[in-house]
Amino acid sequence: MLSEVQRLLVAACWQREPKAWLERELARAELPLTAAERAALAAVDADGLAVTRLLVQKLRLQRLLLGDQAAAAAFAHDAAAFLATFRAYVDAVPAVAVFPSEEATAFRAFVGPAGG
Amino acid sequence: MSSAAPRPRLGIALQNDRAFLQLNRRLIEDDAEFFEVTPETLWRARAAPGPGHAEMLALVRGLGRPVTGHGVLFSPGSAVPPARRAQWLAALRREQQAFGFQWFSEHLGCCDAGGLHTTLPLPLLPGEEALAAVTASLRQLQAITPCIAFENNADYFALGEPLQQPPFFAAICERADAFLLLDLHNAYTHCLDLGVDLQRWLDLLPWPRVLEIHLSGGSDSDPEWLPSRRVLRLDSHDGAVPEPVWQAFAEALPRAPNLRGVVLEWMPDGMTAAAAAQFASDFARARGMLC
Repeated sequence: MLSEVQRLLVAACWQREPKAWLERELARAELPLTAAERAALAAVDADGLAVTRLLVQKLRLQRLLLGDQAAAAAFAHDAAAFLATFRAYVDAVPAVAVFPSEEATAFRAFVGPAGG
Repeated sequence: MSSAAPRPRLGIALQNDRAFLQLNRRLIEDDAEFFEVTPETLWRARAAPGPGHAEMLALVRGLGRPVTGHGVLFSPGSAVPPARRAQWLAALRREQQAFGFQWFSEHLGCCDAGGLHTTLPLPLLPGEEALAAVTASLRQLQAITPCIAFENNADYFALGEPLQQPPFFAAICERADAFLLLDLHNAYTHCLDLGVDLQRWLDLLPWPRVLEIHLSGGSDSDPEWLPSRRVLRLDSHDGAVPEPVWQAFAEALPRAPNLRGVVLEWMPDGMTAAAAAQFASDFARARGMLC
């Protein structure tokens, strides 16, 4: 089922180890996948998926920095510290925002009034 | 091109970025024959007009040249359309009325599934189910802008056999009565990273359906990114058009009888005076090849 193929790929992009996560998911026989879909997902190149994940996360970071001046200032002041917070945010908050202002709202809710 | 066909117009992708607009002012005001605008970069929450929208609209209206629309995140390949689809379509209808796009192009791919969003389109698995999803989505766009094209992406991994992709494009063009926006740097990057022969890939395209060509450059990934230290070509739109892309462009021109526009792209990140000079130089080279 195409929707299941797409669900797995999109979710993989938000995992720290996307290929390993995808392989674990594909081990579940109950997933509604045809043999061809299963084979296509199993053949996904680990390096290519890892680079895709990095680009997806980089774009999410850029989106946040565009939408939140305080976050942009914090990133400029101490990139390493900000990225640690951002990684925690990515792990905790599902990626649903499409626009910078939406991402900024979700980030501010995550860090709370004292954070960021 | 046949002698009866008009020369394709040469344009640039306008970026919602002050430095981009200032550094490329001469190109914008004097040289570009048309403009490509990505309306979603002008939106804020709920796809309402956001920062830069009014300025971009005033700019293109003032210049009085043709405008085309372009999108990245519509996700035409999603088997289940994203929840924002109706809102997105309403916003595109508003932009069509405002900008008067001559045609609209959208990246082919999926960036929404299972309630999650990726910030770039992921590859589709060619097949009947994907064909039906894409066709339905493109039909929705055609109800707003009659002439619709989809753009090939630079995928960093293949889903299915890479050479299935060009025939899949042909099937979409046929089923949806749509056109192809052939991004030559994407094609170059895609083939390089997936180990596919670019010429073979290009040979399989539906050339009479190529409406527009994108030209741009890119860069290589940092070896530190991967434990394998493998380097991939990136579709980053931040450098000079590389020679293999110029070569592909030269070969594409006589093969695309319905080509109406060629667009040069450069992302605003890192747009410096030197980058603008390179962008102008690439523009001049493309113009020389079209004349």
